[in-house]
Parts: sequence; C-alpha cells; structure tokens
Amino acid sequence: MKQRRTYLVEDPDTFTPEQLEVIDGSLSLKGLEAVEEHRVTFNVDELPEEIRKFLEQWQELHIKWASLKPYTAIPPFSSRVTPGLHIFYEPRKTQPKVQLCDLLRSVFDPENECSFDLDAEEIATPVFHATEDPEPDAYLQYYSYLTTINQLVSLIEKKLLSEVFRSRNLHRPNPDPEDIAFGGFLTVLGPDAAPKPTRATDLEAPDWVVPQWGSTALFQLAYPIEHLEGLKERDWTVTIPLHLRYFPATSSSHTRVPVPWPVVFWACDAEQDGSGNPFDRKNLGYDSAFGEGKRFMHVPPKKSGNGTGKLVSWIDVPVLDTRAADWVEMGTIGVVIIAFLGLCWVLFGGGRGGRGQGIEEKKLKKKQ
Amino acid sequence: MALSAFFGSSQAVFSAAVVLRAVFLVYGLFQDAYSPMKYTDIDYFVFTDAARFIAQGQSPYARDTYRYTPLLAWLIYPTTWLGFWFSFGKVLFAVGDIVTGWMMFRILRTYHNMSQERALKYASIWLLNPMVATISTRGSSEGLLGVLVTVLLWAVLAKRVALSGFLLGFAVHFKIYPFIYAASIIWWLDDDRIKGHRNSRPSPSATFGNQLLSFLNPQRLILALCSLLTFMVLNMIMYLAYGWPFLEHSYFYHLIRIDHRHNFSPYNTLLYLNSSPGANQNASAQPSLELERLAFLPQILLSAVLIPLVLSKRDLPSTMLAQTFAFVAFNKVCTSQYFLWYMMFLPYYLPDSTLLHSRPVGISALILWVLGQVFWLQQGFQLEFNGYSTFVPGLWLSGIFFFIVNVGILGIIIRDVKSKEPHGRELYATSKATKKTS
Repeated sequence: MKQRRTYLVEDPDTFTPEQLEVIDGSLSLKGLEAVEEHRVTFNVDELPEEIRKFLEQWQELHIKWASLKPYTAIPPFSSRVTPGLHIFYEPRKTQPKVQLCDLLRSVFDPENECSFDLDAEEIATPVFHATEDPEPDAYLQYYSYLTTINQLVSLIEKKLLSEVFRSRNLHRPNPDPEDIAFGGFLTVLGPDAAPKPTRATDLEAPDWVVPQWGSTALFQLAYPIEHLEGLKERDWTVTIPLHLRYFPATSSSHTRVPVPWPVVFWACDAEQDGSGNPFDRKNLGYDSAFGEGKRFMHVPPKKSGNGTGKLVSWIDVPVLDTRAADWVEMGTIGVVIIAFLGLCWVLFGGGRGGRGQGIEEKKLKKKQ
Repeated sequence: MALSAFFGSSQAVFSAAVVLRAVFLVYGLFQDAYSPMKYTDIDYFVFTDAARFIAQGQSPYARDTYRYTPLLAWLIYPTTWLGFWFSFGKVLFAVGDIVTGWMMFRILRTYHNMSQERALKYASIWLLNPMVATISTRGSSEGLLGVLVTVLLWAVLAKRVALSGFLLGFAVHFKIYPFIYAASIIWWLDDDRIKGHRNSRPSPSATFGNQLLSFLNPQRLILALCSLLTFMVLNMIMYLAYGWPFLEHSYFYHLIRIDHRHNFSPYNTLLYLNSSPGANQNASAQPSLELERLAFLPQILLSAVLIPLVLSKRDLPSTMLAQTFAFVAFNKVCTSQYFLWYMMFLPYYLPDSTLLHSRPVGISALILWVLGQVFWLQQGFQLEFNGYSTFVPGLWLSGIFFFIVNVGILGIIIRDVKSKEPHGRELYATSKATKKTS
C-alpha cells in the first residue's frame, strides 16, 4: 500500500519547506492553507479476497464520480467529468461473462436499474478515441446518475479500513520533503485528432429495448469569432437538440430524466515536450478522443447550477399516462373488429350497390 | 382554354413534373444548408452511409438501421462521389417518379381507352402531386417502388406473364408488401382473360380435380414460378454476398418490429401501452389480452385474400388500390410515405368512381381524410414540440378517427369495384385488338 498526500495552495510562493516538520517518522505541516488530496494505492494482493476476486475480472477498470454540487477546481487538478458515476472498463479477454451490475449495486447504489441479464459489454457504449491512436486503455463506458457515494464510503470504512489497515502500519509517511513537488505543465505537440463518432444506436427504438445505459456526445462548438479576437466579451449560447427515446407508459403524464451538465473545455495543443499536464486525470471519456499531448482547459460551471445548486438539468419526457388508457385496448380492438366486419359485409353482402347503378344512370344522363 | 391546352400536351405535363421536382430538389439543398429543420429525410443518410460502406468494400448492414436490400445501396453508389453527387439518389428517385407517371399515362391510354388529355389529367394525380414530389426529393425510395409496381401492372395488363413474375419477385425482394398483389394477379389470370373470350363457366358437375386443373393454367404457373425464382435468386445472391445480416435486417426485422413511436396507425397507442415494461402493473385495469399480436390477421385477410378474390376479376388496377389501401389502413405502422403506395393506383380507379362522380361523397371523403391527418398532426406537434403528453386521448383518438375515415373510403372503393361487371375483360381484349389493327 502506498499513500500520497498532495497539498494544493493558492499561491505556491507562500509555501516554504520550513513549514514541514518530520518528527519520529511522521510528518506534520504548520500554517499551511491548502486543499489536501489523499491518494491511496493498493496492490491487488493486499485487498480482501472478495474485492480481489471481483477486480480480477477486468483488464481495465476506472471509476470516476463527481458531485452534483458546483465546485471550484484548483489547478493543476482542473480536469472534470460530468456529475454522476462514470465507469470505464474493459473485461478480461478470458472472462466469459462479466457483470457490471454486481459492482453497481453492491458498491455504489443498491437501487441501480441495471439488468443482471446483460453482461458488461452489452450495457456499455464505446469511449471516444482518436482514429490514428491506439485504442484507449478502457474502451467501454457506463454512466449512472448517482448523487452520493455514501455506500462506497461505508464500504471502504468497513472492508478496507478494517481489514487492510488493521494489518499494516498506517503511519509511514514519506519523511523526505524533497519528494513533495509542485509540478508544472508537461506538454507535447501532437497532430490534431478528429474524434471518432460513437456508433449511432437505433434512435427509433424505445428506451426499454436498448441495453446501453444511454449515450455520450462530444461536440466541437462554433465559437463566435469576435471572442477570439478579443473584440467583445458577451455571453453566448449553444443549443444542442437532443433526441428523446420513448419511455415506458406509467401512471403519470411525464417521466423525469436527469441530464448532467456537460464538461466544457478547450483541448489545446500542448506547448512543451512531454505528455500534457501530469496532474490531469486520464480515462475521463473524452481525453482519449484527442490523442496524446493535449492540454484541457476547463470552463467552470455556474456556481448556482440549475438554480437549486445542482449541476443537472431535469427533462420532463412525455409518456403515455396509464391512468387515462383504460379504453385503449378494448377501444382499438373493437374498432378494428367492427371495421373488418363492415368491410366483409361490403365485400360479400350489401348487394351490388345502388351506388354503382347510380353511376351508370349518371353516365347515361351525361350522354343524353 | 389554357388548362386544356396544358393537359393536351404530354410534353407540357412531363416538363412541369420535372420542373416541380427540380425546384423541390434545389429548395431542399437550401433548407438543409440554412435551416435547423432538415429537408432531407433521415433515411437518405442511412442509404448514403450504406453506399459508402459498400464503396469501402464493407457490408451495407455495417450502417445501423439499414433495413433494405443491398441493391438499394448499390443503386445509389454514385452518392459516394463528392459534391453534387450526394444528391444522385434523390435525382434517381425523382426520375423513378417520372417514369412511374409515364407508365401510368401509357396504361390509361392503352387499357382504359382514354384520350391523351384525359390520361394526362389522371396521370397528373401522381406526376404533379406535390406530396409525391416532396417524398422522392427528400430522398425516400418510394419512387423506385412506384416504378416497379406500375411496370408490374402494365406487364400484367399486357399479358407479359414471365416479365410480370420477374417484376413481382423483384418488388417483393425490394419492399415485401407487394406480395399482396400476387393473389389478385394470379386470380385475374384466368383462361378467359388470356384467350380473350368467355369460356363456359365450369359446370356444376366439374370435379374438384378438374377445377384445380383449370385453375392451374400455364400463365398462373409461369407467374408463380418466375416470381418465386426471381425472389429466391435475388435472396440467394444477397445472402451469399452479405450473409445473415441481410436476412435479419431486410426481412426478419420487418416481421418482428414493434413501432412505438407515434404514427398514423390505429394500433400505435396500444402497441406502446402493451410493450411498456411494467405498464400493466401500474394500471388498475385487468391484464392485457395482447390481441394486437393478431393485428396481421384482418390486414392480411383483407388485402391478400378477400379483396383479391372478390374484386380482381372485375378490375385489376382498382383491386390493387383496394388491397393497398386495406394493407396501409390496417398496418401496425403507418406514415405518410405509405400513402404513396396506394396513390399510385388512384388514376385507374378515380375516373369511374363514386368519389369523382358524386361530388358530396368525394369532397367529404377528401376533407375527412385530410382532417384525420390534421387532428393527428396537431396532437403530434403538441407532443413533439411542446412536450405535452398527448398520447391519450389525443393521438389515440385521432389515429382511430383517421382509421375510420380510411375504412369508409375503402368501403366506397370496394363497392365501386364490386358494382363493375367482370366483363372488364372484353374491354381489355378489344382494346388490345384495336391497338393491333391501328
């Protein structure tokens, strides 16, 4: 097990190594105003057997979660994902059938509507990736609108902290202040890579027959030119029409669907040799669309969010209201049967029709 | 009179038909370029994508939602070249429209003994119909179907039986539903028809075996054989070239599809309701009988069995109209493109119809037919653009209303055709004779 703590200060010049103190193999910080990132790395064999067995099914598994609350990202940890739970994965080739639902329900959300009938590849959508680049680490993705990770937290407390931490000496911080570094941006110049579109699913199919969780989209925005030239500063709006699938009929007129706010960024060619910002997180779903050597500059979302302080928009999808549909079945079948019988009567009964004779008469009259 | 001079000249009518389509085509390019509401049909992108896959040596079924024969993608292969070639398919479909109109004109002249002016007027129901021109220039392939079916009708009336069989097999390969015409054409092809005179009716004492023998006359056998052979050979070629996806997407998909998205079909709301997971648990109503699974029964019985049996010997083109009308009205999915399927038969039926001879009946039928769509479209607009849940009662009732209007019109058509004597055959025979002597 390894731990890394990173302290993020607003102004790096205010920090001096004197603020660090190492006493008896443990580290303390004095008078530092900073945000702490605590990173814990386990070897697979250090994990409880249950978790280890689960993880062995995957070639790659990356899980990201972002809160619904707007937050200010402190550089260099500026990368963002849309609020909710993102899972990027690739099942092990030798694994016959891998379930994602197990993971979702047991670790994140017992009420997740995933289906146990479908394996992890069926419910996934492909991750964007630049055509000329090799496949991204994990080529599949799943998203779920998840507002808290309380279940994961309590799971970590119960399983990992009780089992792993009990068997190890917890206080082994790195005593060498030299190892605590503030990194710059390492970047590399690379060719512009066009994003490869995801497979368009059959848009006519209703929600309940589509095994995939949903879909992601990556748009290149047409930016007003006066902004680029620094001539004007004004708000501008981008409208992206969405296609709604049919949702199941239910006992209300609308079904509410959460649409997490998108991440908005510039993908810039990196300026120096290297591979982008070393603090940028990877496997976010969109980074692989741009190939190597890109630096992402994010536009922070509005602090007030959607008005209730959340980074989500709710869409009311009109559905068939079953409360008003009592007559639909009998009505439809009844009308069709009556229509069929009526036509049979016209075909087989109903005489040869005075109407036809009427035409004959009329013709005669015309001729006369 | 200017109008009669116009309809007196086939050049004028066909030029107008071409100009109409050219204007729509160019207008479509502008709308696509400048409006967020695209003129081009979404299906056209499916066809052209499939053609691009073919050009890259791949299967057209690599394109999701390509549910047609690979022939269609091959036909519009030039759309994969750059620039204006992208519109090649639309031009092809529009040319198909014009050819269809020309064949209609020929049929009306030859087999309905119409004067040139009259024939051009009735062919204009198709040729100068803005709905027809719009649908093909938006890139919908119905125009090609029009050619196939109209040439099929011509071939049958001209007693070119082998060619008819080939066209029938081809049309079914192309779009499945023309299989309903097999029944009416087969039934129509009796000995009297071919020999041009009325044989003595089978005497009551004729045995079943004799009746069967006289039913299985050579022309019926040739038609059946040629159509089956064409259909099977085409399928074999496509299967060998593109394998299982061809069968899956061109045929099986259409058999198992359930169209939930709102359309004109009377079944639409019911299909949405009964295919919704969990909808029945929520409703207080009793569990569904799932009778909609039997929806094909009235549809196929009417369009492929009963109407052909009763009507086809009286008037084949009008019978085909009635069949198609029944097929579309009772179908589980119905969009305005399907109206083209029966519109291509109107020029043959309308001249002697109650709809044209009785002004109140004709005008009410037209108004009701349009109103049914207006009601439905208004509800559809509220759903799609304003997000109101208009499924019930709005969309459902307007769909049912439109269905009743359609059934009423179909009833009038059936009565009209039924009131014709089966002596239509002499008419055809004489028309052919006069043609030969002239």
